Amino acid sequence: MELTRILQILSAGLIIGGIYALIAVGLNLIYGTMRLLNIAHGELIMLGAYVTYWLYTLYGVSPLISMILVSAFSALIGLIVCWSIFLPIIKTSKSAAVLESNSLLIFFGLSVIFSNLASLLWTADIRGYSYMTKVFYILGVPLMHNRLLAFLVAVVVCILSYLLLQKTMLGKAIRALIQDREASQLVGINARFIYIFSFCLGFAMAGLAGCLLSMFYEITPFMGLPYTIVAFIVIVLGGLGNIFGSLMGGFLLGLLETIGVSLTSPGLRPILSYSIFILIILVRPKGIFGRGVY
Amino acid sequence: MKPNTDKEEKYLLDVRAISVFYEAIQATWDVWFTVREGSVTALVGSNGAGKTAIMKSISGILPTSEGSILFMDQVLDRLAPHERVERGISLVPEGRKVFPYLTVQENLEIGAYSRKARKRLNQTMAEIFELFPPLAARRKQLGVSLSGGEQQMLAIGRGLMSMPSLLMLDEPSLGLAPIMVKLVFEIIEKINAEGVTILLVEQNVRQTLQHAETAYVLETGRIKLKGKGSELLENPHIKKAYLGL
Repeated sequence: MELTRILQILSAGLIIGGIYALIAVGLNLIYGTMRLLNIAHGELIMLGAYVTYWLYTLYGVSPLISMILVSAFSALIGLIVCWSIFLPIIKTSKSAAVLESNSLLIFFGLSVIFSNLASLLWTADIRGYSYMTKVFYILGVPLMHNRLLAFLVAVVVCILSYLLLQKTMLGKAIRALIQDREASQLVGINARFIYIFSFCLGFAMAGLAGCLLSMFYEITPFMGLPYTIVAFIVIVLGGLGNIFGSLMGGFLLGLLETIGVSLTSPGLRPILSYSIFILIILVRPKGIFGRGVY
Repeated sequence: MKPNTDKEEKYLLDVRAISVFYEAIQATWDVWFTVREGSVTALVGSNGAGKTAIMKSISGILPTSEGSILFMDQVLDRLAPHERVERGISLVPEGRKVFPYLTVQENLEIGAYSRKARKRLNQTMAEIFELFPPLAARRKQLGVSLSGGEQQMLAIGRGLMSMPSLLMLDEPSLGLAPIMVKLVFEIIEKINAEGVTILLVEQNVRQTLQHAETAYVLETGRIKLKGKGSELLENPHIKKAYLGL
C-alpha cells in the first residue's frame, strides 16, 4: 500500500477515535461515580446533533458557537434527569443490585422517549448540512476542515477532562469516589454534588460529540444507538471506571475499526467492533489497562 | 447500665441511646456513651458486637433509627457525612480503605477536602510526613502498593488531614504485625498529646485498656460495662471473657 493511503487510514481512524474517546469518557464518568450505565447516552448525541442542525439551518448559528450552547443544553438535561430521577432512586434503592436494574430500565425508557420524541417532532427524515467542507492536504492526505476541527475539539476536551481529573481537587474527589464511595464520604467529599457534577459533565460531553458528528454525518432520530454501543465497547476496552483507559480505548477502537474496514468492507464494521469486545471480555475482562491507571 | 447524669463534665461527643440498623438487621440497642474532650476513650468488644455500626453512625454513613448523637453540644442526626467532617469528626475506617489508585500524596490531599482543612493543606501534610517518615519516602507510590502497616499509617494520616477535633479509629491494629501494633498505639498517644480527642474501637482489649482513659464494653449491641481502662483490666468479667485469664 502506498504511504498516502496508509496516512489517510490512520488520520480517519484518529478522527473517529477522538470522538469515540469523547463519548466513552462521558459514559464512563457517570458509570464510575454512580455505577449507573447510561443506555440513553447515544440519544444525547442525537439531540446534540439535532440542536446544532436546527440552530444552523433555521437561525444561521455557527456550529462553533453551538458547541458551547449544546454542551450547556445537554448538561442542563443531565441536571434535570439526575436531580428528578436518579438522586431519589439512589436514596430509595435498598441495594446496589436493585439500583442497577432499576436504572437500566429508566435509561432504556429515556432512550426510547428521546428518540421517538425526536422522530415525532422532526420526522425520521435523514438530515444534514454542510459546514467547513473545504479540503486541504497534509502530507498529500486530503482532509476536510470540519473533520480536523472535530478531531481537535475532541482531543482538547479529552485532555482538559484528563487534567481536571488528575490535577484539581474536584478531579481527585471524583477519582476517590470511583475507587471507594464510603471512604470518600469519610474524608468530607459531598457525594451528591459529585454525582450531579459527573452526570452533567458526562451528558455535556455526549451532546458535544453530537454537535461535532453533525458536521459530517447524517442526522436521524435513531442515530444514537450505535454510539451507545461503541461507548460500551470502549469503556470495557479501557476498564470500567478507568477514565484514562477510555481515552486511550477510544483512539484504539477508532484506529482498529478504520484499519479493519479499509482492509475488508464497511459492512463488517459492527462485526469487527463486537469481535474486539468479545475478545477483550475473554482475554482481559478488566480492560487493557486493568484498574490500575485511574 | 444507665447513662450517667453527671452534669458537670463537658463532653465533646455525647451518644444518647442510639439504635443502628444494617439494612434490616439491628446492630445496636440503646447505646449511650460519652467522650470527654482531650481524652482517649475506647469502645471494646468482640467481633459482631456492633462497634463498627456505631462508628459509621457517628460519621453519618449509617443512619440512627433512634436516639441522638451530640457533638460539641449540637445534634448531628440530620447532617451528611461531609458536613460532619467539616465540623471536626474524622473516622479512620476498619480495613483502612486507602484509595488504591491514588498516590500517597493524593490520598493525603483528598483527606483535606473540607473547606477549612484545605487552607492549611501543605502545613498539615508536612506534619503528617514528620509523624510517618515512611510515607514521605513513598509519596509518589500508589496506595495499593503499600504494606498493611504503611496503609494504616496512610489511613491515619488521611484522617488527620481534615484537622479533626475528634479522631475515631476503627480497629487500627487489625491484621498488623505485633511490632506495628505497638507503633500504632504509640502514634495514637502522640496524636492525643497534640490535643486531638481519640475514640478508639478495638478487639485488642488488653492493649486498648492500657491506653484508654475511659472504656466502654459493648456486647451483642448493648453497652455492658463502663470504667477506667486500668480498672476494667482488673474486672473479673473482662479477664475471663476478653483477656483469657
